[in-house]
Amino acid sequence: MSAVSNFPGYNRLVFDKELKSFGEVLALLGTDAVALNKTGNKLIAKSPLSPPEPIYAAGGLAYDSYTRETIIQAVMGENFSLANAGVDAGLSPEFNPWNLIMVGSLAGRAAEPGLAGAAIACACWDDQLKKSWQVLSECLDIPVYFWEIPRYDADSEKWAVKFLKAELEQLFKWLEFQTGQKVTQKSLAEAIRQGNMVRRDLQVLDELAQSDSRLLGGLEYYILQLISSDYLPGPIELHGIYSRLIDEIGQRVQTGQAVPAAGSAKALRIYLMGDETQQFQLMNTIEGCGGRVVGTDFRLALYYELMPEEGQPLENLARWIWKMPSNMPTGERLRATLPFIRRQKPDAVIINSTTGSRNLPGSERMVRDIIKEQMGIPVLSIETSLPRQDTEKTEYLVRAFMEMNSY
Amino acid sequence: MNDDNKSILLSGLPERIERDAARITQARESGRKVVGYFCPHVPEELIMAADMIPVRLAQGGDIDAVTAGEDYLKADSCPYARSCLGFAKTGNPIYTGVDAVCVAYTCDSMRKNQEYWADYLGIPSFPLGITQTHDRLRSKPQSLEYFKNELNLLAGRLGTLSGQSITGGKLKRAIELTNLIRDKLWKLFEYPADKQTPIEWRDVFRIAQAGFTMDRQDYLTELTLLSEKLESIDKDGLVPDKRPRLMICGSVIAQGDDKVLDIVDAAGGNIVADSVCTGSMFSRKRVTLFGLAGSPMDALAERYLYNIPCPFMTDLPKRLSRIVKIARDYNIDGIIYYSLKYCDTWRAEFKAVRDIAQRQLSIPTLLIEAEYSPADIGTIKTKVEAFIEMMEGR
Repeated sequence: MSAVSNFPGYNRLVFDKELKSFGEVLALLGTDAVALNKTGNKLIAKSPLSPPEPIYAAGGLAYDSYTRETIIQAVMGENFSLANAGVDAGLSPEFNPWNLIMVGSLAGRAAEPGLAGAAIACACWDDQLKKSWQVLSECLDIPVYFWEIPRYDADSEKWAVKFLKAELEQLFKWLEFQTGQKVTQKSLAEAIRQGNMVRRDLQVLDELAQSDSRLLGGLEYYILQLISSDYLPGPIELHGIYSRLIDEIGQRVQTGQAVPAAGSAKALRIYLMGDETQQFQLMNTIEGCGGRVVGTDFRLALYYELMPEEGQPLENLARWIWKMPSNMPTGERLRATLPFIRRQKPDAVIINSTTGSRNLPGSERMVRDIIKEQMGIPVLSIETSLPRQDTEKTEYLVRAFMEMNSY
Repeated sequence: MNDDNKSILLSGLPERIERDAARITQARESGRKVVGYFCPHVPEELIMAADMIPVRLAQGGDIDAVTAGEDYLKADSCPYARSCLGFAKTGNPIYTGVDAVCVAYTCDSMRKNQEYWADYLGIPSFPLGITQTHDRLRSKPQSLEYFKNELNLLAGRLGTLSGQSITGGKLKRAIELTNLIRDKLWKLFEYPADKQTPIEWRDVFRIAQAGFTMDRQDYLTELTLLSEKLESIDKDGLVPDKRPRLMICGSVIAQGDDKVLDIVDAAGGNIVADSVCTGSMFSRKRVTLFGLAGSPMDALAERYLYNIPCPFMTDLPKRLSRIVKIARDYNIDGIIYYSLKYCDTWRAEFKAVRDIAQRQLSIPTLLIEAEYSPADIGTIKTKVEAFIEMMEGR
């Protein structure tokens, strides 16, 4: 039994308890980064969609505090007062609860040794995250380094990639100063190779999620996606966890087992888009209504394709990052990701906006219209906030949507 | 300023919209194109050099436009960003009169504006990439190079739209004209530094905003006339203003967004300086052409990248030092920190500004969060009155 099972939020969720290897993931969820850091490597915080490869190439340990602090403190721990602590630290109460919880949680632990610094990618994520780290660096008195991904525009490729390479080179110098380990072509190539191992696992997990044989529950799939953003406790270790999980599911296939909570074979296949939700019970609700979560795009930008392993690692990294779907304007982002969404064979799409979030919700109408036009499937827009806030409304909307669109 | 000295630059917003819309319509009928822009990071010199008419689309304070903008952006995005789309929908003639818009990639909401203008309003919308992480120490030389390339790309797109290529000579002429405007405006913004001023900041602010949509040559002529009138006034004969001297900084204060300014006036406060992108920021720094051999594009990139410290950029120390400098130069008693509701970038820096104002200047800072609806007038009024009363007692 992992420690996370003692958290109040855990007991509100319905997990696939037959999937034994998922216990390792739950153990990860219940452990904070400092305790996880058994290697003694410097812990460097990062934003969810900035690739962790540079941190690992410098011998650091990447930590997506945005995702992990919120899962531990809000989703599992139900410590919602941390949102107020985020406001006390300097954020606006109108910020989204992921930032509020992250800042509230970390600002309250200023005295604890742990984070060596934060390397935050701009443009790849949003204004609020940038400001949250600006505020946190003051509170925690740790160095924060902003590196930048220039906007995607096919006409600017030549100078945008050149700019990004220069940005990465400066980031490496900063990371070297934090970790004491030089980033070399070799260490970068190795970080890319190891990152690709996780990417391949995520691609396999997508295949399992969309399989007709109902192999992977929505909640488990969602959590596996979220925790992929930093490769904690390290890319090799995370790959090991994913591999064991994939193997176990493979054995289920051999024995003809299906996921108990994953609905019937004719279940409405739902693809989730937009902001990741703190209301993890949404996955249970979808399955409770006889639906299935067959895919999400929350972390798709991190594994949309493998990073090239041949050639110049810096050049490869820069080009790959510049073309991350999350760095593209909405229309191009959708053009780039529609093939991935189609591959999951959804019957309908649910777009989540997190209250207070303005980046992805700002393009919600455009996403909805493009999905309807290009795929001809129904789309439901929902708005969620903290884990237990207005959940009835979300549940009601999702249930009504599922009923309307089920055959 | 006395009524005798009233200039057309001080005419009301509806009158200005009518006059400038008529001019724009006439120009379009004669075959000229009109290009709008929102944030001041877009060099209007480029639009002028392509023989097109630049207009800054910076109106606000209109609840109907905000509501109309919610067809695209959610209700919890900043009212200015919603208005930028909403005015085009409600038929504001300045917004519907443009042939294209240039949108600098600044905050999240303005980036979305660029997409909606192109895909939903059917107006060519040219994005301008601008870096966020360059710093005052210029430790990132790649930023300037990137921005210069983006300006060149924009120049090419504008040239295609107008059918006229932008030459170095045309660009230099546009820069010279705009610099003259900046010089005149800056001189006006300097007047309220003196307690015996022939013109108040509020009027200078109106004059700066009038320039958003006026013909550039006409604007310069009017500024010159007004400046001559003001210079002829004997300052020693003016009564020193004893009201608390305030600085306003924060989110964009759009044309028509007069609510907070009116409340401060009515409460007896005297705003004498600003650090807002629709105020003195435009005129604060001229474009410096580096000798005859200097490239005008280099000069534009230098000026527009490093001199408009909007908080979508990460260099907070630069913004703080500018606020401190202005407060010292204008002998400020207190700061009004204006944060439009849901303007994440400005709102998150309030604490840093308040703390530095307290620490380095020993002056208080008042946070005002406002929407464009009248619903918050009472609350804001109470806060402002208490703030000014407190300063009067200091």
